[in-house]
Amino acid sequence: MNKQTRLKQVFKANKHLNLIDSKAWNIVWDYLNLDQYPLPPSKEIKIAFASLDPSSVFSAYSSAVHSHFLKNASPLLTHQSCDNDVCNLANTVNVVKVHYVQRWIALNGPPAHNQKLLDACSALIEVSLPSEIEQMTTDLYIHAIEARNPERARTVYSVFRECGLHTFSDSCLTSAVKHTVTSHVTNSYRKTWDSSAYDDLMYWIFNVVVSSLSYITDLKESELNAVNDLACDALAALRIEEIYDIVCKMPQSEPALNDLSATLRTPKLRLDLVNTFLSQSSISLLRAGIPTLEIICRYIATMEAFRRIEPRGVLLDRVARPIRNYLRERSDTVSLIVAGMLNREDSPISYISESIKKKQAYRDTGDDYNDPAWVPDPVDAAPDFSSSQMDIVGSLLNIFESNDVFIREISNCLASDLLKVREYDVNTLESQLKALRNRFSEAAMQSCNIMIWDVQESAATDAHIHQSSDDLSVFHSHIISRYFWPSLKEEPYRLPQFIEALQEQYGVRYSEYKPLRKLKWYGVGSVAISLELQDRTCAFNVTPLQASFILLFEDTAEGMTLDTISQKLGCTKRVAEGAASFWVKEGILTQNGTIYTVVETTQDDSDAVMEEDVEVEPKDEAQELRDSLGAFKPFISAMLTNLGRLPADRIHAFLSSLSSDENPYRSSKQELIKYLDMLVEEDFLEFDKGYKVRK
Amino acid sequence: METVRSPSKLSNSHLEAQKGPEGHMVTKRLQSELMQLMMSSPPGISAFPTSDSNILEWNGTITGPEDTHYENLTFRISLSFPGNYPYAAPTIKFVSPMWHPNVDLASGQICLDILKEKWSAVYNVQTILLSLQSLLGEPNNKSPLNPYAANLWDTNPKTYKQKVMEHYQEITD
Repeated sequence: MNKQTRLKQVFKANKHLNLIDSKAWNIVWDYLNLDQYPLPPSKEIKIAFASLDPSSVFSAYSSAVHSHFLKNASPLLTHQSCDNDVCNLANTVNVVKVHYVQRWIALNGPPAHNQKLLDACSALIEVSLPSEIEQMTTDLYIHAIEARNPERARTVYSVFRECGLHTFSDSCLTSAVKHTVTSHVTNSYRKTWDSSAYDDLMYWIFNVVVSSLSYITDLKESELNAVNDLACDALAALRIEEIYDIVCKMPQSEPALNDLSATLRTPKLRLDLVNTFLSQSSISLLRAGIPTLEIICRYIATMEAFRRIEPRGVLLDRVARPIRNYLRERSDTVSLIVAGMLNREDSPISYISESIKKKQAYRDTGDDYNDPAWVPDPVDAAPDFSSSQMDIVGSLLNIFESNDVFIREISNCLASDLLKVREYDVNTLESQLKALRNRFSEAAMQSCNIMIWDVQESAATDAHIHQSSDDLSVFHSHIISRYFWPSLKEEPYRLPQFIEALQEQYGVRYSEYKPLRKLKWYGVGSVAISLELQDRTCAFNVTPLQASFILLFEDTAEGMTLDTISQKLGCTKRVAEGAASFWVKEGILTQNGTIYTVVETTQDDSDAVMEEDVEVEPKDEAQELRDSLGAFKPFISAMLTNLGRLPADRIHAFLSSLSSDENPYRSSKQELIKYLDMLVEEDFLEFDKGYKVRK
Repeated sequence: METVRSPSKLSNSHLEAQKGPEGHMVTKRLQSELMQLMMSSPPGISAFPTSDSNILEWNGTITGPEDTHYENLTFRISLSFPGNYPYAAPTIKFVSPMWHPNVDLASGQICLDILKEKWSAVYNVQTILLSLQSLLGEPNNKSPLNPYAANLWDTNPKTYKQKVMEHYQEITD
């Protein structure tokens, strides 16, 4: 576009056209020609400019800049950014800005016009920058912050700033800081919970991020704080995401919880924490496949963890509710907790019996408004949140609304324990019970106290009865008050005759000692027996039922079926089966079909030795095959059961493909065939154009 | 705890799944289930992959529980696992003809809540097989696929048993 046409355009656009001194106008307009390189204005130009109305010139110049920019600078910027170099682009931006702005500023017009032109220019530049430039600039800043070499970034930042691209440049810098901090937090601290990340992070922020940033730009204090907050939020977000695993890893993960406690600044983060934990625990914990005991352990861990994050317990209150509600639905919750409280050896939570001994003050006084340090509950506290500080046992007992279920379970446990006690020694049980008194009211524990007392009293009575006659031998009794003891579950069965005789005699003596009282016998308690077998003698502490059961085998070398046994014992088949399986497990009886016989001698008998003597060689090979392939017998069996007849090739291929680290398959096909043929000989398999399980 | 994968991310088709990282997870899971099943070998149930190249297809065998109409009878089933197993239930069908209130006689389809809406990733082949085995003795007559069978179960056990035997086919190779 030549000068003339452009002038015509301007003339058309400008209302003040007629008033303009055309000579002065021409001089100024020549100077402002955008196709020329900007040079400082001569004195003549300045005088000419002073004689004109600056607003008219400015508005003419503005529209000239606009059209020139779109035609020339825009494509230039777009083309530049394709070179993937922000530095070059920044230079170009600078050149473009100088080209349009400098000649005008040199005219010394009104400052408002200068600013207006500068803004217009920045806006044009910003619009012309393609979208990927933002990412590229951010990357440059990220690199600068991480590599501690912010030279280029500093240049780019200051160029953009001078060209009026503050907003653009600052937003790039902010996202660069965000990205750097977040990825540092994720990469450095993910799954490392055994040391505090917070201090380390603050050190890193100060030494790396802040030092690089202050080189690139002048950091204000508010910006410094913003960077710190950003770091805190990033750490909190990471720990929140990991919260369930952190809780599971208690107590090794305590430093991670401290981090969380230090960084959980806003209500939004608190809400995130609660929601994340709730959703993670409902996925991983509160489901049918998880044993109750594990849920209880996790519940305890949750309590400890959230107390650490927030001692006041508002968050804990919110996350623990669903677990409590869930535990309430499980039928074995009470018995497992009681087993823990009574310090049963097999209970993994028996450590809670330690904390039971500490007196728990039930101090729920509500809000004390006379306390000068009083603060209201946080907004996210549930309406019925109470700030009473409960310890672990307290919270476990708190799962159920009333303590009755626990009292009932405790007395059941105590009853069964007391009945197993020998020599009337109740000291251990008594001291356990004493600890529980800290937690339950005296009235609630009354029946338990009476049960202990009953047994102690039985000792005196028993001593007296034995004094008056010694033919009662080793027969002792627990005399219990039926009203206070839980009803004893009893399957009816017949005790051996000589025991029944002893019972009768004992009962007579008792009635002599305490007139007008009569004993009613229960077949519970414990019996110490010793079994003399052909090659060994075994001693057992068993239930009266088990003892009566094995006594049936005293005089007979032949086996008995369950039918015969249950008939002799006068009990149901199911009860007899329970006792039978106990003795089979102990290795005293053996089951052969339906017949039970006594194992008089243990298995390593002379037969095996003889066999070894006769056929040493083949036995070794067979044994070797059994050793290497025995583990695969279930596989072979399942394979042939479900897939029908298979040739050795297929079986071999299958086993090779299923080989794993725990169960490696290393045999050759020949070895497999030998083993399969062995199984055929043992009548486990049959062979006819392929192997098949024999029915 | 392992990262919990969202089931929605796992809706791949079989083939894709077998190649992708999730497919590897399916394979691992099924291998360990097979191992577990072999080690425990519960009585009356058994299952095994149909080929060494595709672990997503299994055959299974169920023996009817004692004191039921199906006592001592053995039935063949097919199990087909989706690529996002265990986040989705396997498809299970009776291959042997099965006369039972909750089994479609023609197609072998089974109506069992844990295979449909109540499916959960904690179930495995062993629990499925055990559930199927107990379904034989305790049908759910409220939503029958075979209403005639459901009706007979309640009203005429003798004819029911006859029907079972009529349709029963012993497993051959």
